[in-house]
Amino acid sequence: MMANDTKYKMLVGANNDKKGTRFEAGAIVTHKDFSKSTLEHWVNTGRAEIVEEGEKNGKRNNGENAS
Amino acid sequence: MANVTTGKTHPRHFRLFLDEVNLSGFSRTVGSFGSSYAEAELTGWSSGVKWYNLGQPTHQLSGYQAVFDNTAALGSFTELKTREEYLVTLMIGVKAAPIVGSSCFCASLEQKNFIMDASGPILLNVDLIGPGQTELTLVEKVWGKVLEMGATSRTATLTGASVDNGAESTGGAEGFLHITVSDGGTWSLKIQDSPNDSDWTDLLTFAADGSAIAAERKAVAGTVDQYTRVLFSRTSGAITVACAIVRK
Repeated sequence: MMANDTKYKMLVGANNDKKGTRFEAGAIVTHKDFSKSTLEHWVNTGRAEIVEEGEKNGKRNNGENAS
Repeated sequence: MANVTTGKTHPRHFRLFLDEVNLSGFSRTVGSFGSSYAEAELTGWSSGVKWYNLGQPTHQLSGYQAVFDNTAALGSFTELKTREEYLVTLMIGVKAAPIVGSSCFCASLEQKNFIMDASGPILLNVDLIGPGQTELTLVEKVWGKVLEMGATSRTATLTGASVDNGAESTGGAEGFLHITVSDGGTWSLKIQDSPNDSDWTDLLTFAADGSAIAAERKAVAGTVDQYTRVLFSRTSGAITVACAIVRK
């Protein structure tokens, strides 16, 4: 699982229905915009790419990368 | 009774789009439509039964009959008298007009026969077979799902209802688009997919921008998520559009 502050670039346009937001291709998004599982699915299926791997993990993580 | 997508039905609930024309109001009967595969018999002496391998399928829509109407641009005679290749979407409504999620037949088909019958009401008898040489990449699959019915004039951005495929598929897809009415406005016409019915990405964007009546088949490769829908974003104008998706 990627860190919470990992940045992704959308390669295609995307909508978040729950938040009512739209991101065009090229937009930089994080897990605050979409869930981690959705973003990782999009990386795996060629709809997004990681542009900057983060370092901060969430509270439920084991703290391995915590600063 | 609420409109449904499953169950038995009657042809009166079919809707037919050929290129940029909605022929539903002219259609009387359709004989058969689907795919028929060539076969090679490979039975050996020790085989217990006849053994076959299948070759390429032939897509066809035959025994189609429409009432004559020569209205400019949108009449049945006007559309069908020119022998050409048509983008075809035949929607199968169940006990009522088709809705989002209804099954449909989608293919690119060449006109094989066009014969007028004047023994009673003036009728057009048409058989389509295909594809022709202009659609060399047409794939085997012809059965899809309706995403927009082509029955309503859209005057605002449309986020379509979603269609649940039960699971994602990995062989790509083809989108079929029929813009049957346009007042010259500007639109962005997309099909989106989603793994969870909440987070959506653009699966394919049609080249047509809604500024004129048009028909288009657009292919996309790779994973198609479990849910699909249309996203028609309006800049200006009004359009009436039929749209369907076929997963490969």
